[in-house]
Amino acid sequence: MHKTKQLFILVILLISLTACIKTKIIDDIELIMMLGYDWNASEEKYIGTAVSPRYGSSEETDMRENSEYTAQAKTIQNINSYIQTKAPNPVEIGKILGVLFGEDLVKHGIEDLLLSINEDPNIGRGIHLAIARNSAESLLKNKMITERTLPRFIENLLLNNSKTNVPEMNLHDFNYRYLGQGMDPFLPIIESTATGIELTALGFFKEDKIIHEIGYDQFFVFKVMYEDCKDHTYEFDWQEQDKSIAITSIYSKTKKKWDGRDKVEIDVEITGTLTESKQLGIRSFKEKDKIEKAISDKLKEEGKDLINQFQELEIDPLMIGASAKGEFRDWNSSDWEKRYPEIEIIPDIEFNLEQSNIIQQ
Amino acid sequence: MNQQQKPDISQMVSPFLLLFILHATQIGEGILSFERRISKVAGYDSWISILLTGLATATVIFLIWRIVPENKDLIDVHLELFGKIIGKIFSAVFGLYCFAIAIIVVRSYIEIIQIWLFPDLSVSYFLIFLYILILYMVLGGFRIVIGFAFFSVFVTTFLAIFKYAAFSNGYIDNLLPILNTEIINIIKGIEPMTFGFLGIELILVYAPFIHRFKTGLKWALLANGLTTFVYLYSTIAIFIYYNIEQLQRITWPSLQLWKVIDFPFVERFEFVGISLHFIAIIASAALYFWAGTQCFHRLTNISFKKIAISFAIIGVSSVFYVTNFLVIERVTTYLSKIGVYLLFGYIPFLFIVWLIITGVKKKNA
Repeated sequence: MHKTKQLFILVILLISLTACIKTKIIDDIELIMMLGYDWNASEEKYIGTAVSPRYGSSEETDMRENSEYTAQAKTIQNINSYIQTKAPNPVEIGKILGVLFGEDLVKHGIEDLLLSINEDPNIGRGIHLAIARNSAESLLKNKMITERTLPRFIENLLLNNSKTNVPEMNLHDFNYRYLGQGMDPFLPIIESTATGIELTALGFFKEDKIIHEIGYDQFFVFKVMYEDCKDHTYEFDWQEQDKSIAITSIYSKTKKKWDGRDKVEIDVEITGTLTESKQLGIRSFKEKDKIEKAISDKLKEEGKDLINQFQELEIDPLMIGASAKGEFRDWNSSDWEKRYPEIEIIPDIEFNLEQSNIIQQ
Repeated sequence: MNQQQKPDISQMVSPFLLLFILHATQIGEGILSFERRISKVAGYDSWISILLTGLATATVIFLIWRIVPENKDLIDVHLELFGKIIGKIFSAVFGLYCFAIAIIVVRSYIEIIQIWLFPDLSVSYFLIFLYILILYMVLGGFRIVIGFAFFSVFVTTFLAIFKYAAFSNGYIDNLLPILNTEIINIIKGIEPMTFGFLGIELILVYAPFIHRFKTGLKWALLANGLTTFVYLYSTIAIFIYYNIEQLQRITWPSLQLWKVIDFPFVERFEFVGISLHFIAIIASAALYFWAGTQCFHRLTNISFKKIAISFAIIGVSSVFYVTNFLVIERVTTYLSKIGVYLLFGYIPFLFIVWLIITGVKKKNA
């Protein structure tokens, strides 16, 4: 009697525990890999573009093929469900690699969009963000031939550059700087050119609008002041000797030192190897000191220029406000914002040459 | 006294298991969201509130060991101190409180599953199976419940390790300068924090089930210390990862932190985290459920099974009265308030009454 009762319960459980929830089979869903958003000013609507790879059923199918879907709506979720009307399979955005913002959108402001993205539990916090020159739609519809799919290409482009040229900025980092006090976010700008897709600039935000851009030649100085980095290349134009030399394998350490309430030093120590010396030949300590000093001075000058630009625009991507907040007890954000343009920020960049290269001169 | 309601040696557990029991009841659903609640009150300095709460709860544990004599529980103490009627009313209220916590813990965990994993999950269906599981544990006796609690400790410790992601990406500057919040706010932070330490009051009910109860004090204090440590570690991880403005907008900071962890085989760690957390939730809900049932069983002499089943039915039907997230949030707030008063008001009050009455008795003797 007891045994049959147990068996009965077991059977009931087996039947009823069959997870009656919508199944998501990987072959039968539209797996969105990248999203792009633009702003349609005349209709006040967002234009969303979703890219998903077209996995074929046979092995010979070309994996580079993508399907793109575009829809317009006022909310993000509605764009997704609108896209559904154009896609044959259920749309899933759980595997998204990155989000691109069109240039019009970042000029209009991305606050609403950003907060809506944050509300979706399906979207990871480690995804890449970037600004697309002109429109995100045209960039994502680029028919460029790449080794992998276009979203993978853009992801790798952003990922590798975040290790070498520009600081990393994922969704969490962007939120952190956007919502936090005493800091402002920035994003890389990618551009579709005749030959491919390139990362051309870094766009700086004031609140949720883009306000300033720097090009490739200022990436290095921004990055060394912003964070510790390794494996970089810096090209130095030595005007005195009319030579351009290159330094590689750079690693640097940065630290902010406060000297009173209105003066801060950004202490940067860079170590590198001289790789393209153009027959400069460094044989004595004196020559080494000379070149080190020349590079340090140049970097200090470039750093000062950049900081002056930031202070004029009242943006703080170097997170100096946040550092002050940790330093001074009576820090408050409104007072800081008033004082920020007048604060003396000194980039104290010091360059050390550690190695020469494989050729003796 | 009905002797049958008292456990015999075959139902007892050894005192060192208090470490697991107490830690498992303390860490439940609260660990996923408490950082937001405490930082709202005391900002970045609220980690000091955790230490203070840890100290305060350790004192409460100490008081409990003074109040409860060997082989007796809260119901006996109530009878002795307040007489038959009032004592029984107090015990009944305590039992109801246990059930309320069990119900809300289960329900708020289902809310997390609904939001993060399966938006189209049927709540009533899931509740039925959860309560079948809880009933299985509770009816199996105290030892089965403890078995679950034992595993729960390993799970929560394992999950806590994965907060390492914060230390590699965070900004330690956030915590500085220390003590920049007003002291009064840090003390106010004890109130929301206490919800995370609730579970101590259950010792009053399961005390007779602990073999050589009086020797268990050090294990209970150790459990409390472990809880404090886990909370402290978790808070510091969250604080250096988020800034306060961001934290206030995030319902479950830990889950969002897990979102950035990915392994080649797990794209997003929060799914693993939520699923594993199930064991911790079930362990603490089952202990509360068991305690509530035990209370009523001792009070009324109705069989343990009947009480457990009828309360399981009430629990399943919570789908009708805990209908949406606002109710959950509000009930959690009320219950945590009640919990604070229970720990820091009622138990010291019991202690004082106990002191007076034993003093009077001694004099008369």
